[in-house]
Amino acid sequence: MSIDKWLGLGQTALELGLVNGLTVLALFLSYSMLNVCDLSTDGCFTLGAAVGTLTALAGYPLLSLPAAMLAGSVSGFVTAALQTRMGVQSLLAGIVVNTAIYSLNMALTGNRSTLSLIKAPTVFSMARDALKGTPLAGQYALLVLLAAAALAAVFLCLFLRTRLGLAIRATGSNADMVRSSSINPAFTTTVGLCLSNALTGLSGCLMAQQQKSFDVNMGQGMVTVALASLLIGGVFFGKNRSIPLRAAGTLLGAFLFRLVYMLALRLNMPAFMLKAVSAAIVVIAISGPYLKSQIPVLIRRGRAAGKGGTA
Amino acid sequence: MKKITAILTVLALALAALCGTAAAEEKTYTIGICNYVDHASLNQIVASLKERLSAVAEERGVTIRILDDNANADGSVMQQIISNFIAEEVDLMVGVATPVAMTMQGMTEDQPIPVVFAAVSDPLAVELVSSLEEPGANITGTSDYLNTDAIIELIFAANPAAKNIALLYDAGQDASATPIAAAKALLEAKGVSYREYNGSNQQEVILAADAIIADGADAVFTPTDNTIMDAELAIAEKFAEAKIPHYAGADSFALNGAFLGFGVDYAELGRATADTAAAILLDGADPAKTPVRMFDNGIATINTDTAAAVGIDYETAAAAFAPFCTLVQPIATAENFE
Repeated sequence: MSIDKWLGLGQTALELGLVNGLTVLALFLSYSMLNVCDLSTDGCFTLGAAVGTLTALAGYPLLSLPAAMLAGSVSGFVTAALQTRMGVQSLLAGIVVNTAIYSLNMALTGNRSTLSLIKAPTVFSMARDALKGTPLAGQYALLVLLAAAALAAVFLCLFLRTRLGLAIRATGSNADMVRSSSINPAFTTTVGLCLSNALTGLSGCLMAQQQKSFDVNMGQGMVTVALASLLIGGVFFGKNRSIPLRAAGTLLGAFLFRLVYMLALRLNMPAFMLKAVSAAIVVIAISGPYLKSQIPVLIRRGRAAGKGGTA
Repeated sequence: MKKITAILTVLALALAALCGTAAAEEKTYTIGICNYVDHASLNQIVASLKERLSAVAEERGVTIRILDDNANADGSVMQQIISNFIAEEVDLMVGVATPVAMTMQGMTEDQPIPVVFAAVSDPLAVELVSSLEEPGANITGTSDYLNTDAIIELIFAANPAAKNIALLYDAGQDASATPIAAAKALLEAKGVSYREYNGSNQQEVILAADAIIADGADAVFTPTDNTIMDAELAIAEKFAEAKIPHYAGADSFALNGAFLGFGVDYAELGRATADTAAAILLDGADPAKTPVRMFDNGIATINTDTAAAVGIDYETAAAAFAPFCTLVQPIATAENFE
């Protein structure tokens, strides 16, 4: 196979990685910063896709991005309100919202499980028309996604440096301390989840527009994929690194995740095995650094045992 | 990238020229088949499609290489499989079920690769083709559009006194929307009362089945609905015990225990899909002008185990159904087609 084709495959992996990367950034905020495992991610992703698709179908492709983000943040607000104001456990709040969003999506699409965007203008078709005749004409999808991911990452980094952003990070590491500094953790949790879900919604919206169709089940398993990508990113840029590096790491993780899938498919692995591959990736990403840190200990033990043997 | 391709092409041409003209080799075609999910009817399509393709290849003295993948209903994986096909430079792609066909359509927008879809219930509604006679782009295929009226007529052929019909389907399945609307219209015209029951996963379908039994329906109707199909083994027994016959829109339902599966012969549909693919690949047919083939061949498949349990005699039912279908055939419960 020529290098051209490998680049083509790599590009699909990169594009998918960037689309998913927005969801991974969302989890970076909610899971790594706020310490909330947001299980409404799957539903919120699909909600963003539904709202984005419907807005684009109505003829407003540019409006579809803020619309999907708004829908995502409303979903995040409900998840946050359930856990901070109504005594629902955090994990359960996510699951409940995730379940309810399915019905909401069906209601939004008028009881249709698939919608086609093939004839509607999307942000991608707009970019394609705008770039026509320039040297970048063939790369419109990549450019749109790069811009979206970069903007989201930069915004997130800047936000986490503000007072509110720091308060959100502090809520994640020690809610009691935050409370004693007279900051309301319920408020910081709400803001954090609204923002992270806005990113998830945007991710779903771009995914639907990129594949030119909406499917009511398209978000299924997204939270697992995003968590796995987050952990892979953490291997390269872990907790002791700066926030911008860690944010870049999450995007890298999302890309690497897709790259592994691509290689697995190239090796003619049946698609049903891919779930096992992603499970293996998570285990390697978590246990790899741990095992690496254990190597000196093992060596020392080995030496000690060796000495013990000769003595 | 373009430069690299150009250089490589020139090198390859030069090499070919140096080596002299190669002997007239057997022509090789590559076809990428992507199935949506593991499912008795869909698997049957892929199996008969592959079988037919290799038969055609042998007959015409060409080699057809088949790449075969299953997306397991995951949209991202679907995109990666299709981009893998594009990288493999397949000459044609086959998308089995609507979501795959739609993704292939999106991903081949800038590429001239022909796409043949299989088992897309309503290719017009999802804008895969601009008309059934002249699809208009690089995409054509076969449709398993369900003749709903025929199935509803079968219910009354078996039991003219039926008064309450349960419509069991997943509201999230696009393929179910049109036939359910048609069923409601026909039942209203007949003045028969009906109730809708939904389930979006196996548990919900089982609960819906319990509700149907509690409400005492005379018969249950389900269109070509993959969610209900997945739960059929679980609910068939309940309906059989309650003596409620289940009429469904595919023979695989009957295989998994429904009283009657009516509709498309998916093996035949797979063969027709292969023929369309072969016409495009080998005879240079233009997909834009190749009509979508509809499969409304009306084969009624009766599960004899269930018929006995529900208390309907197979011979009597077959005689009653005969005027409404091209063929009535018996089947026994099993998990997959042989």
